[in-house]
Amino acid sequence: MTSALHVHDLCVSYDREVVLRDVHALLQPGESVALIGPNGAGKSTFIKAILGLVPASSGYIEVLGTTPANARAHVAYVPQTDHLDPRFPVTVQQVVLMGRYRSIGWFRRPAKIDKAAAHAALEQVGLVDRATDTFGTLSGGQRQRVLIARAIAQEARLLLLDEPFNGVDSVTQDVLLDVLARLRAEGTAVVMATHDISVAHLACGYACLLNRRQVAFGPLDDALTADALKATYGHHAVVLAEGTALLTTH
Amino acid sequence: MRHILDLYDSGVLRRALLEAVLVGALCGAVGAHVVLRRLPFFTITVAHATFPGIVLATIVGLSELVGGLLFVFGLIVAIYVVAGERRLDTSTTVGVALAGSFGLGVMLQSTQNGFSRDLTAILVGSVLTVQRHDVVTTFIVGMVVLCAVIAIHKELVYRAFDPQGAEAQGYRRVLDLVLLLAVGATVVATVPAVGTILAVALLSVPAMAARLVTRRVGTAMVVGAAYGAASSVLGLTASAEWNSAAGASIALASAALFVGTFIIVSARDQVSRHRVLPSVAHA
Amino acid sequence: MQRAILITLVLALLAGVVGVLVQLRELSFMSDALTHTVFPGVAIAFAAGQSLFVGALIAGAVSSVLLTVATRSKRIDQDSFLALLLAGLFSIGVVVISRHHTYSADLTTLLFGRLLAVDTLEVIETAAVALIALGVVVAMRKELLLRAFDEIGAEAMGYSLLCIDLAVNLVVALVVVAAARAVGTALVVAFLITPAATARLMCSTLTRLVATSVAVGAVGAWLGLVISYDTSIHQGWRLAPGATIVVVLTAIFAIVAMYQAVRTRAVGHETTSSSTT
Repeated sequence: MTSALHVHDLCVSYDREVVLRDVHALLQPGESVALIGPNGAGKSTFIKAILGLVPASSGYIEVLGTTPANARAHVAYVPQTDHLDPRFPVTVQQVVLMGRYRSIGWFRRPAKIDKAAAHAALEQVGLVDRATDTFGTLSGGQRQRVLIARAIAQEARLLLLDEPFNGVDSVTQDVLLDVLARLRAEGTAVVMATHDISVAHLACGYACLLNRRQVAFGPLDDALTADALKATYGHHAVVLAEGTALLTTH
Repeated sequence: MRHILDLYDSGVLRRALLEAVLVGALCGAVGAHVVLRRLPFFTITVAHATFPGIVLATIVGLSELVGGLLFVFGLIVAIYVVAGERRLDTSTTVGVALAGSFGLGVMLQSTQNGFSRDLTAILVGSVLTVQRHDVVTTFIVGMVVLCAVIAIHKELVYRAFDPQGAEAQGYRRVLDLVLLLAVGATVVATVPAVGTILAVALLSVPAMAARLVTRRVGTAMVVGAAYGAASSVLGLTASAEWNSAAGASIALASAALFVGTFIIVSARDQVSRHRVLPSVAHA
Repeated sequence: MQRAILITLVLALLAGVVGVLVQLRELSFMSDALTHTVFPGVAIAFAAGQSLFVGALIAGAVSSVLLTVATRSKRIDQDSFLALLLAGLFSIGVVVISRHHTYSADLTTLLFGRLLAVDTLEVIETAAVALIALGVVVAMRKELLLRAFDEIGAEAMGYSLLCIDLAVNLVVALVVVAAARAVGTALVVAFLITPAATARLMCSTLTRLVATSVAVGAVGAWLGLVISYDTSIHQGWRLAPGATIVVVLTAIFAIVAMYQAVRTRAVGHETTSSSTT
């Protein structure tokens, strides 16, 4: 069985400055890893490297058994929603369909199967009744769910999420946890950047701690030690008890 | 050197130089805000709007400066109000104003005679035909504009770098209108000298050069004014020497100064980066 | 006169559709820049006695590439650089024309077109360009929508933003080329920006936006032509037809904008949030 993600000694640089190094990771289908670290630690860089949007300056990265560029058709990315213009004239349905564009290909129109996949995805996130509404009329949490639905419609084997639980309501939080569990059961691997350690405990089996270099990678409880958190967050981590720490967020 | 001084023996050229330097300095200073608040498109629109302003002034019988100022100010207020409605993005509103005002100018002018002739004068300017009263008017408009901009300098800079913070502190949006009107007045004062196309260049390029040299807005205004004045001197001298179009020569001089600065600054950056790099790699 | 009507309706259709794209991507400045950079191509072709159409096409292609690459670079301030390119290239066009002895009249023709003097060949050329441009937009509509809505998502899915943006700018350049003879490079920007802006004030679904934009453009074009023709016959004013169309389109925009403003004030804040359907 090919691994979903295999990273060895990865190093990434921007403008001749090293922004991320010493990253090792191994993720099998159905497993999920939380990327934990402060702002600027390299979480987004790592995600971009998995997507093949930034090259590795050294080391190697294998996605779904092949190069990031080749694997892209089977990798789905869920960004945050704040860069999206709420007044843009697009419906919820149209946004979810966007996840199918790559498989539809250039110049062709969405077929019945694509619309069905979009509908099913919207059902999973509980927003079928809002399908024909303008995207911008939804709340922040609902918009995040639509983007998740878009990723589901893509039928990817690796799912990358950027702080999906940031500032969302509890309904969205529950829906997200459900969706992630279901996707993992179906064999999709998940990589999730997050600030929130409690969420990491709920949704992920592995943790990858980053601070411009990898501090730790492993099963959640093994990786999230007081020392590791201290090394990741520096003086921003206050250790309360073994395995739990208070983090000041920025 | 003596040769250049000889060139400026004629009163016409001396007046032209004075006008060009005033215009260059004013544009270089105001340009700092044009670049900071991303107003080049707005500036182009105002430059185009001077055309219908002048045509209307001719039809109604006002002086070109007054007609230009009235129409341009009216248009700026209209843009400000529609943009405030927030149904359209700013660039669309400015675009509609640009197209509409210019179309109006062309339509009105087509009913008059001497259509083509007036248009080209507005496009390329005629700094060599300025009269003494033009220089005085430019000076007065320049003083008023600079006073207005300097008076609200702190607020403008705050608003530029931290819109939410400024709003929380009670920044009144109408200060934006003051800036826009100041830019508008600058354009109306500049167009007779160098024409519409080059007025836009003069309001952007010296300021871009200044930005390479300093990050502080106040300093950029002074440096920009210096670059603008220098462009005028160089450009006008070159045009007198080689008999090329005055306005275009000034614009080209400003471009040359910008490119020169860019090269020097880039070279300096490369040198300092080589010195710093080894320590970063081991961090 | 019939040819004038035909060519303006083709332009209204083309610019109405492309205009919505320009609106959604906030490319008004880029479109204006393209009209200024296509001009030297037209000017050089004119001075060399060659086909203005070909000159415009070449300039359109070259400037699309130039402007796309320039605006993707993160080093220099976009707007100022665009203004610089615009002023520079336009000046070159003016200089080239100024060497000609019939300078002023030629400049006018190139900038504002000769709507009433278009011949059949020009109508065909315009229609052909319109078909190609519309074809590109229709073929790429999914990807254009995605890129306009979610730049980050588009990139993550593996789309090349550079290629998509280049295609968009080429399409806009084609519109400028199509309009060059009829209404001139200086007035085409109105066709691209104003009807779509008016439509945006009135609707917020994509299909309605496109339909309204085309409709407003067509109505404005027809009305402008009628008014300019009528006043020249009955009043003796020689209103330039292209410019009159622009004024009518702007007036329609102003009326709709004022109506919206009044309606918002009268009904209060509820209107603004419910008007998104």
